[in-house]
Amino acid sequence: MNSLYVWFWSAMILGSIAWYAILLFYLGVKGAIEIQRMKTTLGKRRAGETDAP
Amino acid sequence: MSLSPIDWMIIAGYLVVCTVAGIRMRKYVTNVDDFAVAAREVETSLGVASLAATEVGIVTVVYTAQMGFTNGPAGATPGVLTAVAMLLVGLTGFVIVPLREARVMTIPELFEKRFGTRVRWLAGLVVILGGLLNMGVFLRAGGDFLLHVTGVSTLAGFEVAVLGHTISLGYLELMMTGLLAIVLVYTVLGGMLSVLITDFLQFIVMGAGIVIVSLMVVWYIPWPEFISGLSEAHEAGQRYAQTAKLETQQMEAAARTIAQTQGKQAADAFLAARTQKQGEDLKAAAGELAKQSVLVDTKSNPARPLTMAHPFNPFASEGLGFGWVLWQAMTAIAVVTTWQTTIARVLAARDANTAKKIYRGTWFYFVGRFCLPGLWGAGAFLYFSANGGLPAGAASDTAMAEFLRIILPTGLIGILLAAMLAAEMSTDSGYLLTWSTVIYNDLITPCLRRPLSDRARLVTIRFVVIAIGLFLIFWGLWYEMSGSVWEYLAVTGNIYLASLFSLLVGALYWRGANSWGATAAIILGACGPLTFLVINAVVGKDSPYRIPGEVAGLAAFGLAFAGLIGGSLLGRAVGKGAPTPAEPIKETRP
Repeated sequence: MNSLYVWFWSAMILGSIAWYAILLFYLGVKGAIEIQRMKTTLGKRRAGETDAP
Repeated sequence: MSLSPIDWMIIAGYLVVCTVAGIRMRKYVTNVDDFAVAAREVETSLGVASLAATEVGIVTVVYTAQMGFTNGPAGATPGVLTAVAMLLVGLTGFVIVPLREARVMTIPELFEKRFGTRVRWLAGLVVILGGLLNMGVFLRAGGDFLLHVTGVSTLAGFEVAVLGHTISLGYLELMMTGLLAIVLVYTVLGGMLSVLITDFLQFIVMGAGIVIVSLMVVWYIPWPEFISGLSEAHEAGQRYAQTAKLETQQMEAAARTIAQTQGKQAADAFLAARTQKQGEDLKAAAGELAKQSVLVDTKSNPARPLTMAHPFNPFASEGLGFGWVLWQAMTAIAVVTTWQTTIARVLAARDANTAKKIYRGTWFYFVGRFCLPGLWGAGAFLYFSANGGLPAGAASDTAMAEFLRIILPTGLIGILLAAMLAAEMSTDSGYLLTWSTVIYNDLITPCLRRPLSDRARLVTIRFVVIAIGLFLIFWGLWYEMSGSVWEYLAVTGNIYLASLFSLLVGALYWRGANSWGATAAIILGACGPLTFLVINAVVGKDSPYRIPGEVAGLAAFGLAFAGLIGGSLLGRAVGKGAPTPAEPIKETRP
């Protein structure tokens, strides 16, 4: 077997496991913050629409 | 059934949290923009999580694992190509920047600015045709996987007596209908806002499940053994293929002799009997063949041998090759710039720069989307080769589920199932919302004489979501898949990918494109894949007249671009076709 291909696929597969694990924590925290921010923005907008004459 | 109370608790907990979180977002929906594009308030991390969750469904896991089972890691080539395409688009902004700046809700809406209402409507129709056919196999493929993991037969069910009539209900149909009902509830109520929140939860659950299961597979089959096992399996498979080829040649020679002496009918009967006998022999020798890395697919009738293609080189791997890789590369570029469920995140992004960031943040996720289930599939091949062959009724598309059911301990099965339910729900909700938005925005709206009120628009789009859900239940659960799942998905996707990709490039970057070229591109681009679907449905599985997926796919791209260029030049020559706007396409909404 061509070792270049073997190295390539090994890097892709093992790298993917590592990358998924990192993203899980990184996006888990940042995504939660962004959801809160989005809900606040939408909530303010909704309150503005309700208050409007 | 191989589920313990802990597994059930994990699954139930996940479903309750996800449903409640989705339903709670309904209070923020006041108009169609909130419903379809989340008021364009999506930031980078949430966009990445949502895009990643939507594009990984159970069907994704099934077909990528099937590719890993038959072609080893080389089967993950489409994932690498998609990742590269996504990174390039994320760096350059090719297509997505002008698309986001146009502030449209769907791609066909952009075409109206450039080519007129008819092209928008026709493009919307092709998008829906390709999208719904593509989505049609999701439920059955997902249900098959879930039942295999739990150890329940996909044909199992029960009977109930209603008003004197006995009705048979299958577990698969009931389970997937229930799952779709949950998805429908929160998608209909909260639209894109609910989809985003549930996608985020599903991204976390699914990501955890994928990482844990992948680590378990690597722990179960250590990496050096995995690599050498695949190489040896491929070499053994090649030896078997040579012997089988000789036997087939001898059988065909004998059939020719019979045809000359006793006629064609006798020859056909001889071939059919021999093929059936070969199948029976394969079943009887399955245990011995497994020692030579040849597995027997007992789901097919007659049974057929399964061998490992070249596991590392996609250009030399059986069933793949240069033409296939080229088709996948074209499809990858078209998917990341044109696939409406992917583009929906671009259109919901806060601005064009955020859209580019979402792409740059997601690109490597697409490598794992193919590589990790592919790892499970390849692991299944090695496991069953070393353990007496495939279980009865298992084939390349279900081997991975059987393998995971065997190696995962209590608790982890629950996590895997919760992860796969998350994958299925996020994909279903994203796709339901996307296709309903296209139907509402590009098929219904252009036909209305007067614009609807905000409330009527919301009611209409919600009704369309429910209608698609009902279609999926009645069509999706009864569609019987044959052949490679990935090939089916890629070809049905190509019905609109080729047309719309050429149109998008033409609309955004070629001033000479006009409505004649656009119409020709849509019609010709859809012809290749539709011909593939019709002909391959009519001719037999082993017929020499079957059209290979790469021929249909590449023909679609070639025909679509030829139609765009040829039609535009012809339209210009006869003085027809919508005029080209003097300025580049910009915002269409306030």
